[in-house]
Amino acid sequence: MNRQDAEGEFIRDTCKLKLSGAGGEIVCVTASGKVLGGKDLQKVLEAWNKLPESERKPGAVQVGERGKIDTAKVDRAYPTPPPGTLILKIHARFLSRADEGHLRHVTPKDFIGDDKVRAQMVAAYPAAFARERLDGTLPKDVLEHKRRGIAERISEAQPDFMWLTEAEWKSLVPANPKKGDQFAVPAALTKRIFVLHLDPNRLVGEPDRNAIVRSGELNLTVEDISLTNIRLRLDGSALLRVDFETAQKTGQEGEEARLVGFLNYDLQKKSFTRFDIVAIGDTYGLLSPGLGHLTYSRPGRSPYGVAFELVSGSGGTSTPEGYFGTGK
Amino acid sequence: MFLFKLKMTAAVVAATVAMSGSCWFTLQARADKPPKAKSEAPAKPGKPAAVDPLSAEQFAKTLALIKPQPGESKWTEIPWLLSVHDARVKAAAEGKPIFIWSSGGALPLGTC
Repeated sequence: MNRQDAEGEFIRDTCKLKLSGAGGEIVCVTASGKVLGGKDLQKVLEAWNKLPESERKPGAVQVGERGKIDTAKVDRAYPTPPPGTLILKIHARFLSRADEGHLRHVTPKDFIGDDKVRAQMVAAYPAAFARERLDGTLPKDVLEHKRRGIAERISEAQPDFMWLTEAEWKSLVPANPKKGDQFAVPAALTKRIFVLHLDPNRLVGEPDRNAIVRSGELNLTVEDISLTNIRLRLDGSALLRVDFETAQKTGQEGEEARLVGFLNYDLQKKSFTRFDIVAIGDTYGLLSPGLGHLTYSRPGRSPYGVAFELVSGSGGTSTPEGYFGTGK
Repeated sequence: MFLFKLKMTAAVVAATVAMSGSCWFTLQARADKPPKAKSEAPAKPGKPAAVDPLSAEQFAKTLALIKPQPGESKWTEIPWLLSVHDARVKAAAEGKPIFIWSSGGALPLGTC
């Protein structure tokens, strides 16, 4: 933690901690700065219970004033959306195809935690797996650690957010709509959805902001109009990086995805009251290098899904609360 | 669950903050005009994806499949604080330890 303010000083100088960067860290401390432990919460509890009452009793520890805060850095870390921002809560997760063909949640056995899958991946990408010693030469305890990592992380929906400025979401509202009208979502917004939110690397770490959109489009159709409401349907597709055939030949990563959405615009409130979009895609090849790209890559076409939903109350005239919240 | 029995004060700390949020500033669209009907808009090359199209009937089912399931991602139910100082004040007042989850560019609470 390199913040040069009171928050950074507490972590560095009082707690004597060096928190790592992108890899993330979990640590438990007291209000006065004593380090109790990390992920093993049973040990943390034991350490806490051994502390004198003067450390544990409610109100016993006196915390001083806030101190100097690097507000510029805080603003960069937790930016406040401008008034009128429409906020979408996003969940993305790796999926798999059941024997019957329908989509299902993944299990560790869909990944290299399963010996058969790992053998397939090693055969398909021998150099990459040899480089990270996942070809069978990795010590068993390290391999087991990676297997546990898969089990803990991979089956869950991964959260994200997307902000649309007032100008952006208003650009999706047709001025004189007629039932059946079709229009394209503005190119910049389309690209942002594709690159930042359809990239399955986002499920592991950061999306690749330089990912090439080979082709794709997002279109809105006016499905219904009333005195109070415009109902829109969104349809689209995207091809990121390379197509499947090319990926088969070169080992490159690629994604194909379809999108469907349903949007309601309230003419009286002048705001969207529904903004549901679902994307179902296939990823193929190795995920981009970075956090566990081999661990989370699978053989052949591997499905994933992305769901976008409106954060209630956003897209109005005031700044919504809870834009960084974690509510489902 | 042990975590909830312990009832810690939870704080998320941005260890390195240079990256977070930058996507919104660098990639926000300049789409400030009402959309044109498709006949007026330039045609775009749209290559059909190999995955099956999603019908309206499948929509709700698929949305539910992707979203967190009951009992999943319990960490999202924790009322995280974004300031170490705020967490210290709360922990001291309530007599609880602080659980710190720090990260860099990929913030635990999601990037914008």
